[in-house]
Amino acid sequence: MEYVAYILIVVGLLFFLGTSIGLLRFPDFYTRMHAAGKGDTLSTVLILAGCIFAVASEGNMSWLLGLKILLIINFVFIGSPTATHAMMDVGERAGAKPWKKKGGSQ
Amino acid sequence: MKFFSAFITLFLPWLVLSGKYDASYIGMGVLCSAMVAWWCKDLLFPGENISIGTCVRQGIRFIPYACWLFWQIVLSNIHVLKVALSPRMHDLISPKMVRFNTDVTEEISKFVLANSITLTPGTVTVRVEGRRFLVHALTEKAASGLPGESDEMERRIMNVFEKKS
Repeated sequence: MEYVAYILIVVGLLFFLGTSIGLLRFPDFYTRMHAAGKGDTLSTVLILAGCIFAVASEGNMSWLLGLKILLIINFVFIGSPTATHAMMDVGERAGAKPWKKKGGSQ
Repeated sequence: MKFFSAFITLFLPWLVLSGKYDASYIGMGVLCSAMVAWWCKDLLFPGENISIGTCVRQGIRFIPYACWLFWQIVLSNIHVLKVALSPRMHDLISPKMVRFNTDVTEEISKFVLANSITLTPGTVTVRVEGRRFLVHALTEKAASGLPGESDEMERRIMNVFEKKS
Protein backbone atom coordinates (compact mmCIF):
# COMPACT_ATOMS: atom_id res chain seq x y z
CA MET A 1 0.00 0.00 0.00
CA GLU A 2 2.71 2.43 1.04
CA TYR A 3 4.86 1.58 -1.96
CA VAL A 4 1.97 2.17 -4.36
CA ALA A 5 1.61 5.62 -2.80
CA TYR A 6 5.32 6.35 -3.21
CA ILE A 7 5.34 5.23 -6.84
CA LEU A 8 2.27 7.34 -7.70
CA ILE A 9 3.68 10.45 -6.01
CA VAL A 10 7.10 10.08 -7.65
CA VAL A 11 5.56 9.59 -11.12
CA GLY A 12 3.36 12.64 -10.53
CA LEU A 13 6.42 14.67 -9.55
CA LEU A 14 8.22 13.52 -12.71
CA PHE A 15 5.29 14.77 -14.80
CA PHE A 16 5.44 18.08 -12.91
CA LEU A 17 9.18 18.31 -13.64
CA GLY A 18 8.57 17.64 -17.32
CA THR A 19 5.94 20.34 -17.61
CA SER A 20 8.15 22.82 -15.74
CA ILE A 21 10.92 22.17 -18.24
CA GLY A 22 8.36 22.59 -21.00
CA LEU A 23 7.31 25.91 -19.46
CA LEU A 24 10.90 27.13 -19.71
CA ARG A 25 11.58 25.80 -23.21
CA PHE A 26 8.44 26.64 -25.17
CA PRO A 27 8.68 29.73 -27.35
CA ASP A 28 5.64 31.92 -26.63
CA PHE A 29 2.76 32.75 -24.30
CA TYR A 30 0.29 30.25 -25.72
CA THR A 31 2.58 27.25 -25.81
CA ARG A 32 3.78 28.05 -22.29
CA MET A 33 0.21 28.13 -21.08
CA HIS A 34 -0.13 24.61 -22.48
CA ALA A 35 2.71 23.44 -20.27
CA ALA A 36 1.85 25.54 -17.22
CA GLY A 37 -1.90 25.10 -17.14
CA LYS A 38 -2.27 21.46 -17.95
CA GLY A 39 0.74 19.53 -16.88
CA ASP A 40 -0.96 19.73 -13.54
CA THR A 41 -4.02 17.74 -14.60
CA LEU A 42 -2.33 14.36 -14.72
CA SER A 43 0.39 15.08 -12.18
CA THR A 44 -2.02 16.47 -9.58
CA VAL A 45 -4.27 13.46 -10.00
CA LEU A 46 -1.31 11.09 -9.59
CA ILE A 47 -0.01 12.86 -6.49
CA LEU A 48 -3.46 13.06 -4.87
CA ALA A 49 -4.12 9.40 -5.70
CA GLY A 50 -0.84 8.64 -4.00
CA CYS A 51 -2.05 10.59 -0.97
CA ILE A 52 -5.25 8.52 -0.91
CA PHE A 53 -3.19 5.34 -0.78
CA ALA A 54 -0.93 6.87 1.87
CA VAL A 55 -3.81 7.75 4.22
CA ALA A 56 -5.76 4.57 3.48
CA SER A 57 -3.89 2.62 6.13
CA GLU A 58 -4.25 5.24 8.85
CA GLY A 59 -7.06 5.29 11.37
CA ASN A 60 -10.73 4.47 11.08
CA MET A 61 -11.83 7.73 9.40
CA SER A 62 -9.47 7.28 6.45
CA TRP A 63 -12.30 6.71 3.96
CA LEU A 64 -13.52 10.23 4.79
CA LEU A 65 -10.08 11.68 4.06
CA GLY A 66 -10.06 9.74 0.80
CA LEU A 67 -13.43 11.23 -0.15
CA LYS A 68 -12.15 14.73 0.60
CA ILE A 69 -9.13 14.15 -1.62
CA LEU A 70 -11.47 12.92 -4.38
CA LEU A 71 -13.39 16.21 -3.98
CA ILE A 72 -10.11 18.11 -4.45
CA ILE A 73 -9.43 16.15 -7.67
CA ASN A 74 -12.93 17.05 -8.83
CA PHE A 75 -12.37 20.77 -8.20
CA VAL A 76 -8.97 20.68 -9.89
CA PHE A 77 -10.61 19.16 -12.95
CA ILE A 78 -13.18 21.94 -13.09
CA GLY A 79 -11.00 24.84 -11.97
CA SER A 80 -7.78 24.26 -13.84
CA PRO A 81 -9.17 24.28 -17.41
CA THR A 82 -11.32 27.30 -16.56
CA ALA A 83 -8.32 29.31 -15.39
CA THR A 84 -6.21 28.22 -18.38
CA HIS A 85 -9.01 29.12 -20.75
CA ALA A 86 -9.51 32.53 -19.10
CA MET A 87 -5.84 33.45 -19.48
CA MET A 88 -5.69 32.24 -23.09
CA ASP A 89 -8.82 34.21 -23.92
CA VAL A 90 -7.45 37.41 -22.37
CA GLY A 91 -4.12 36.89 -24.14
CA GLU A 92 -5.89 36.54 -27.48
CA ARG A 93 -8.02 39.60 -26.84
CA ALA A 94 -4.95 41.62 -25.86
CA GLY A 95 -3.42 40.70 -29.21
CA ALA A 96 -0.59 38.36 -28.25
CA LYS A 97 0.69 36.90 -31.52
CA PRO A 98 0.99 33.11 -31.61
CA TRP A 99 4.50 31.87 -32.37
CA LYS A 100 4.76 30.28 -35.80
CA LYS A 101 7.36 27.94 -37.14
CA LYS A 102 9.75 29.81 -39.41
CA GLY A 103 9.58 28.82 -43.06
CA GLY A 104 6.81 26.35 -42.36
CA SER A 105 3.91 25.62 -44.61
CA GLN A 106 1.49 27.68 -42.53
CA MET B 1 -37.75 19.72 -7.60
CA LYS B 2 -35.03 22.25 -8.35
CA PHE B 3 -34.84 23.07 -4.66
CA PHE B 4 -34.46 19.41 -3.77
CA SER B 5 -31.66 18.79 -6.30
CA ALA B 6 -29.80 21.90 -5.15
CA PHE B 7 -30.20 20.83 -1.53
CA ILE B 8 -28.71 17.39 -2.22
CA THR B 9 -25.88 18.92 -4.27
CA LEU B 10 -24.94 21.15 -1.34
CA PHE B 11 -25.60 18.79 1.56
CA LEU B 12 -23.53 15.80 0.38
CA PRO B 13 -20.28 17.82 0.19
CA TRP B 14 -21.17 19.25 3.61
CA LEU B 15 -21.35 15.74 5.05
CA VAL B 16 -18.01 14.81 3.48
CA LEU B 17 -16.20 17.98 4.42
CA SER B 18 -17.46 18.45 7.98
CA GLY B 19 -16.62 14.94 9.11
CA LYS B 20 -18.55 15.36 12.38
CA TYR B 21 -21.87 13.60 12.74
CA ASP B 22 -23.40 15.09 15.91
CA ALA B 23 -26.97 16.30 15.78
CA SER B 24 -25.88 19.94 16.01
CA TYR B 25 -23.45 19.77 13.08
CA ILE B 26 -25.91 17.88 10.88
CA GLY B 27 -28.61 20.36 11.87
CA MET B 28 -26.46 23.32 10.89
CA GLY B 29 -25.69 21.61 7.61
CA VAL B 30 -29.35 21.02 6.82
CA LEU B 31 -30.19 24.62 7.72
CA CYS B 32 -27.38 26.18 5.65
CA SER B 33 -27.92 23.88 2.66
CA ALA B 34 -31.65 24.58 2.70
CA MET B 35 -31.15 28.36 2.85
CA VAL B 36 -28.52 28.47 0.11
CA ALA B 37 -30.49 26.00 -2.03
CA TRP B 38 -33.61 28.16 -1.70
CA TRP B 39 -31.81 31.33 -2.80
CA CYS B 40 -29.54 29.84 -5.45
CA LYS B 41 -31.62 27.07 -7.03
CA ASP B 42 -32.11 29.08 -10.22
CA LEU B 43 -28.37 29.76 -10.43
CA LEU B 44 -27.48 26.09 -10.08
CA PHE B 45 -30.16 24.80 -12.41
CA PRO B 46 -31.10 27.49 -14.91
CA GLY B 47 -33.69 26.81 -17.55
CA GLU B 48 -36.71 24.58 -17.40
CA ASN B 49 -37.38 21.94 -14.83
CA ILE B 50 -35.26 18.87 -15.18
CA SER B 51 -36.35 15.48 -14.02
CA ILE B 52 -34.35 13.43 -11.55
CA GLY B 53 -34.45 10.48 -13.95
CA THR B 54 -32.67 12.43 -16.71
CA CYS B 55 -30.05 13.55 -14.20
CA VAL B 56 -29.37 10.03 -13.00
CA ARG B 57 -29.24 8.63 -16.56
CA GLN B 58 -26.80 11.35 -17.63
CA GLY B 59 -24.73 10.75 -14.51
CA ILE B 60 -24.48 7.03 -15.22
CA ARG B 61 -23.61 7.60 -18.89
CA PHE B 62 -21.00 10.16 -17.80
CA ILE B 63 -18.90 7.57 -15.93
CA PRO B 64 -17.60 5.69 -19.01
CA TYR B 65 -17.00 9.04 -20.68
CA ALA B 66 -14.91 10.19 -17.71
CA CYS B 67 -12.84 6.98 -17.89
CA TRP B 68 -12.26 7.45 -21.62
CA LEU B 69 -11.32 11.11 -21.06
CA PHE B 70 -8.86 10.15 -18.33
CA TRP B 71 -7.14 7.69 -20.65
CA GLN B 72 -6.91 10.40 -23.34
CA ILE B 73 -5.40 12.76 -20.76
CA VAL B 74 -2.75 10.16 -19.89
CA LEU B 75 -1.89 9.52 -23.55
CA SER B 76 -1.63 13.14 -24.58
CA ASN B 77 0.18 14.17 -21.39
CA ILE B 78 2.90 11.67 -22.24
CA HIS B 79 2.94 13.08 -25.77
CA VAL B 80 3.40 16.67 -24.54
CA LEU B 81 6.05 15.54 -22.06
CA LYS B 82 8.00 13.90 -24.89
CA VAL B 83 7.77 17.09 -26.94
CA ALA B 84 8.86 19.27 -24.01
CA LEU B 85 11.91 17.14 -23.25
CA SER B 86 12.95 16.48 -26.84
CA PRO B 87 16.16 18.23 -27.94
CA ARG B 88 14.52 18.92 -31.31
CA MET B 89 11.53 20.58 -29.65
CA HIS B 90 11.29 23.42 -32.17
CA ASP B 91 10.92 20.92 -35.03
CA LEU B 92 8.22 18.96 -33.29
CA ILE B 93 5.83 21.70 -32.24
CA SER B 94 3.73 23.57 -34.76
CA PRO B 95 1.34 25.72 -32.76
CA LYS B 96 -1.72 26.99 -34.56
CA MET B 97 -5.20 28.31 -33.98
CA VAL B 98 -7.94 25.96 -35.08
CA ARG B 99 -11.51 27.07 -35.73
CA PHE B 100 -14.38 24.66 -36.08
CA ASN B 101 -18.14 24.50 -35.69
CA THR B 102 -19.48 21.97 -33.25
CA ASP B 103 -22.58 19.87 -33.67
CA VAL B 104 -23.48 19.82 -29.98
CA THR B 105 -26.29 22.17 -29.12
CA GLU B 106 -26.97 22.16 -25.40
CA GLU B 107 -25.09 24.41 -23.00
CA ILE B 108 -23.98 21.61 -20.71
CA SER B 109 -22.49 19.58 -23.56
CA LYS B 110 -20.69 22.64 -24.92
CA PHE B 111 -19.26 23.23 -21.45
CA VAL B 112 -18.11 19.62 -21.15
CA LEU B 113 -16.64 19.71 -24.66
CA ALA B 114 -14.68 22.92 -24.00
CA ASN B 115 -13.45 21.63 -20.66
CA SER B 116 -12.44 18.27 -22.13
CA ILE B 117 -10.51 19.97 -24.93
CA THR B 118 -8.62 22.05 -22.39
CA LEU B 119 -8.00 19.11 -20.09
CA THR B 120 -6.34 17.04 -22.79
CA PRO B 121 -2.79 18.41 -23.03
CA GLY B 122 -1.85 19.91 -26.37
CA THR B 123 -5.12 21.74 -26.92
CA VAL B 124 -6.71 24.69 -25.13
CA THR B 125 -10.11 26.19 -25.81
CA VAL B 126 -9.56 29.91 -26.33
CA ARG B 127 -13.11 31.02 -27.04
CA VAL B 128 -16.60 29.68 -27.56
CA GLU B 129 -19.13 31.85 -29.39
CA GLY B 130 -22.41 30.16 -30.06
CA ARG B 131 -21.34 26.98 -31.83
CA ARG B 132 -17.98 28.27 -33.04
CA PHE B 133 -14.95 27.08 -31.14
CA LEU B 134 -11.49 28.68 -31.28
CA VAL B 135 -8.82 26.26 -30.09
CA HIS B 136 -5.06 26.59 -29.80
CA ALA B 137 -3.22 23.36 -30.61
CA LEU B 138 0.39 22.68 -29.69
CA THR B 139 1.29 20.04 -32.30
CA GLU B 140 -0.16 18.52 -35.44
CA LYS B 141 -0.93 15.38 -33.52
CA ALA B 142 -2.86 17.27 -30.85
CA ALA B 143 -4.79 19.16 -33.52
CA SER B 144 -5.78 15.94 -35.25
CA GLY B 145 -7.73 14.85 -32.16
CA LEU B 146 -9.97 17.93 -32.25
CA PRO B 147 -13.65 17.71 -33.23
CA GLY B 148 -12.96 19.50 -36.53
CA GLU B 149 -10.87 16.54 -37.67
CA SER B 150 -12.17 13.55 -35.75
CA ASP B 151 -15.59 13.58 -34.17
CA GLU B 152 -14.98 10.96 -31.49
CA MET B 153 -15.08 13.30 -28.48
CA GLU B 154 -18.17 15.10 -29.79
CA ARG B 155 -19.94 11.83 -30.50
CA ARG B 156 -19.27 10.56 -27.00
CA ILE B 157 -20.49 13.80 -25.40
CA MET B 158 -23.68 13.81 -27.47
CA ASN B 159 -24.16 10.22 -26.45
CA VAL B 160 -24.03 11.26 -22.79
CA PHE B 161 -26.11 14.45 -22.77
CA GLU B 162 -28.29 14.60 -25.86
CA LYS B 163 -29.56 11.10 -26.36
CA LYS B 164 -33.32 11.22 -26.11
CA SER B 165 -34.56 8.22 -24.18
